[in-house]
Amino acid sequence: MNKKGFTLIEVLFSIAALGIICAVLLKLFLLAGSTNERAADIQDAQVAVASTAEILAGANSLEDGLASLSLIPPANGPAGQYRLLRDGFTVVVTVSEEPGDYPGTLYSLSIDAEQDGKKLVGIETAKYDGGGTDG
Amino acid sequence: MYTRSKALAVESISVMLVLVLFAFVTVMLINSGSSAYSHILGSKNAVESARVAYSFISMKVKQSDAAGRIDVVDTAFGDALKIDVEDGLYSTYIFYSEGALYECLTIAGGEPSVEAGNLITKLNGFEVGRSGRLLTIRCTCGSGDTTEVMEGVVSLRT
Repeated sequence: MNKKGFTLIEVLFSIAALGIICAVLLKLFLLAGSTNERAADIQDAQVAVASTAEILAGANSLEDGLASLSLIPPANGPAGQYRLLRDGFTVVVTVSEEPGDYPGTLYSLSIDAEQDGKKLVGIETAKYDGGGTDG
Repeated sequence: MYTRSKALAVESISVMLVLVLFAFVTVMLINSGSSAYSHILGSKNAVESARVAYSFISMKVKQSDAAGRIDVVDTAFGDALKIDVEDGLYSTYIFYSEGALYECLTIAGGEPSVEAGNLITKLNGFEVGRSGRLLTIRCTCGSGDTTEVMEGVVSLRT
């Protein structure tokens, strides 16, 4: 029976092996933390985008909706791109007029939320001016 | 012989020191790992509860959006969302009381109560307000650095 026990080299090797395993586990925790944080950001961005869409859809006209968001449309109509800050996100509203034979005007809206210049979420919706709303 | 036993002693002490150091680092790692885990879990639960509350209210509003059916009223529990159902025979109240969001169905004109209500989710704060056709909903969940505030707007179509 060997009564010498472990040598320093053996212990150092064991500890190094365990250290590598621990480092991997710690990295997994960090990854879980950052994933969780990103999921929360995406959720908040979704609410910011949905709220912006709700404000535009609920307004009597697209101009009124944009005014509610403190956005001033140009004199030749609301089509264009607008940026606003909402809940820490840059919300980009892109309005374009849809051609068609309508009594009013149909606008297609693209609403995106950006953070640090990167798009997190976005929705496409429409608003009909001159006969009701459609979100 | 003396030199060999001295070398063995030095080696034994070194091994013990390394083991002690390893034990210390392991304890630190377990400690930081468990605190990271509880932080992640707390944050996830806060986000989840706030989302459940916000989505529930948003869905209820969309489902019942008819002229004059939805309003924000003052109750014994503060501002609550009141939704008239069955042609105004009954009213559903969504209100906050002592750390939770409740839904309570009453006869028209009745007062909501926690006993008669159903718990929707646990929250740390809930505010609802109305400005014209816009309902502002604010749900707060979690505490400390895991606090999640979800504030959004739902538009009434009628």
